[in-house]
Amino acid sequence: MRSREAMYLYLFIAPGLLGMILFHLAPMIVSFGLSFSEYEITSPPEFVGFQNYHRMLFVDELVGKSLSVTAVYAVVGVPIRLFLQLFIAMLLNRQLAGIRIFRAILYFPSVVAGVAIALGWILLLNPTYGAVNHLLWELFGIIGPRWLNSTQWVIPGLLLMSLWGIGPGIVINLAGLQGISAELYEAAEIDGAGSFRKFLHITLPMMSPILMFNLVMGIVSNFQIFTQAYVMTSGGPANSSLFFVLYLYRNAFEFFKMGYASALAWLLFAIILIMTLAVFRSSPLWVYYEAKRERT
Amino acid sequence: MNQHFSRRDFLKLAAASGTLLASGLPAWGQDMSELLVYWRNNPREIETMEQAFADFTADHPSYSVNFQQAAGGLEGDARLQALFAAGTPPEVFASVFNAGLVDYVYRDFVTDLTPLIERDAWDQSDYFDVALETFTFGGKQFGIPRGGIPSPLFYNKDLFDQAGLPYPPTDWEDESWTWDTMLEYAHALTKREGPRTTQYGIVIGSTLNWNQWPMLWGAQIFPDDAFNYGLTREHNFRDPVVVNSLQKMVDLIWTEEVAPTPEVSGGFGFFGPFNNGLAAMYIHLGAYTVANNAEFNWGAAALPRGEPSAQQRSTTFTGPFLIGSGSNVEGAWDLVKYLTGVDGQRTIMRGAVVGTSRQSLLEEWFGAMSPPTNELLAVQAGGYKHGLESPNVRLVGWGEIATLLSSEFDLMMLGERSAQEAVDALAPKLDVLLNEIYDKNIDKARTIFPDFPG
Repeated sequence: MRSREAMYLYLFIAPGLLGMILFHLAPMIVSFGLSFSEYEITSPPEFVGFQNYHRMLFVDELVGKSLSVTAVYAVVGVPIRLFLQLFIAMLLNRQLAGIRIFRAILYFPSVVAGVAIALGWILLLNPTYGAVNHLLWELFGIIGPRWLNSTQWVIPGLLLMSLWGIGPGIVINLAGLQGISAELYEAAEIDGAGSFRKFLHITLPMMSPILMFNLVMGIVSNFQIFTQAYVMTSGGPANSSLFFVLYLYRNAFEFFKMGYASALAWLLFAIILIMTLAVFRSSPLWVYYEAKRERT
Repeated sequence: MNQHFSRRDFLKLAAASGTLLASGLPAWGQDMSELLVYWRNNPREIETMEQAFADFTADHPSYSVNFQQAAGGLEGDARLQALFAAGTPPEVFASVFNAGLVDYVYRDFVTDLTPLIERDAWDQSDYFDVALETFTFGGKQFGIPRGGIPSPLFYNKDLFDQAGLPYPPTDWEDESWTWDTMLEYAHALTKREGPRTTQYGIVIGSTLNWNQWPMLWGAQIFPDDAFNYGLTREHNFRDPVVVNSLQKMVDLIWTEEVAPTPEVSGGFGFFGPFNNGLAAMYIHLGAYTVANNAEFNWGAAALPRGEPSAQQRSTTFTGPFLIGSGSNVEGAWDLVKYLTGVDGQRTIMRGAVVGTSRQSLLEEWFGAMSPPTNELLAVQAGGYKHGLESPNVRLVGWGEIATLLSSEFDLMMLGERSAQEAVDALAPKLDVLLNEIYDKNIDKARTIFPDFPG
């Protein structure tokens, strides 16, 4: 019976496992090999040793530029989105009439395709005719910036646009909030705790595993940002929105430098891996696991 | 009822799945008469191309056409490359993406058509000579012309009439039609209400590979031998004439304030301020199809000269049909002969951005447009006489070069940097890139061009 169960197990995980091996693991291994070659796809790869890595780390100034653009976007964007996701989830966690409609409305933008969103925001952020600058002028008397046409404002513009897609994070936070026992809040109230105290000593610790999950996912997705820059700015103006993955894509599929692009991909992998490990390593300092505490 | 999924059941299921899957496989390889045509996703072109394919397969029932489209520009090139890498090259394609024909020649993507042309004694006398020259490298012809346009100046006749201005000339030899006269017109045609500009004198529709502006002053961004062999270590961006021409171009926006800023132009979407009737003049390659959608009286004219000696002022773009190397060449050749023949050209030119390369059909093509046909014919003929092929068609690695030019000129276009500052930043980077491309391709160049000097 156990062997039959094992067969079922392997049978059912086989598609996923095969997919992972064929479409993730195998390409990763191949790309690692290619990163030591000059490869234009239509001709055989030519071994060049560490030439790609040397160029990437010591010669190509656009690598540093694209990494800094991506890092700024991630360092500013991830905390803002984490805060807003939690804040809006707390608002949506109230028992009010029609709250389900609000939840649906806030999630709805997340189901729209990335390219469609990007095209819409090109119009919204147009400095002359866009709704954003129109509102800034009408409501606050502020002459809006040039957004996507400005080296200073293109990243803030893309960050503003990214808030459009915080729905999934809100839903995850909402699920976490609803999993916090009401008894904890009642006990705190009996002890005289106010709203801020309850948030600081109950909500935040209980939500910390969720926040950590969103932080890791945020780091990964922000370092891999591509669509917005590809569709909206092409990395401009003057490479001020040249995200790392866009630069990688250009080298691979526009300049036909597949070997160099593979080296870039491994650099990105290393950066994301280090940052993710750092978050995991630091987690005992700030993440509270209720189940673990109960066991000890 | 106790039902088990036995090992035998599993094997039966696996066998059935395999049979089902295999039954779908032969269609990929058995139909040897299927011709893959790879094109950009331009709706007007697609409509007329599909009509031409239907006509072709009606006459040649042994063929079917698998028509695939991709986004234009660099994305289209990436997919084209994937087709070749996968061993499924398209039978017929064109340089309708970012890379030019020479890039495809250097990468062995295209078939030398010379033997087929000679074998079938394919008559090419109806094509413009410049088109045939553009597709010939090292004595081998790699493409058959499908259309060509020398870029003219488009203008809104209604706005000129309202301003009481004479129309710009169709004669490219007219020495009175200068940059200064055009600028004078642009000022007269620009209207403002307080701080807002409600009508622009001119629109810079695209940067036309940056070569358009120096050409008005008798210069070019690359030396001639660059276009002969597709490779060069040199560029002319440091030439003061080139710098001045680029400055004059951006001055239209930021100093003269007769042209819309990039953000204003961007607010009008694909068709731009000219087609919306808010600009009087328009310099943009391939705009015949764009202008033809305009709901006002429009005309085409010669481009002005910034310098009296500037003869070659028009950027021409001549498009070929190409046959993928390693594909079903005979089938592809049959299709190309049909598409570039009189019947095929008559069908596809209705939607073609670059019209037709057959001189005998030019009158018919222009006849479908609102301006007088003789005016358009004069502008076209003069444009060819006073034109040079766009650098993207004849320079290896254009995708990377164009990306560098765009990123370095962004701030100039946004009015945050002078042309001199932009060129100072660009030139050393372009030196490095051109040398890199040259060194990488020099061996290939020697095999393509017996007379390659490098």
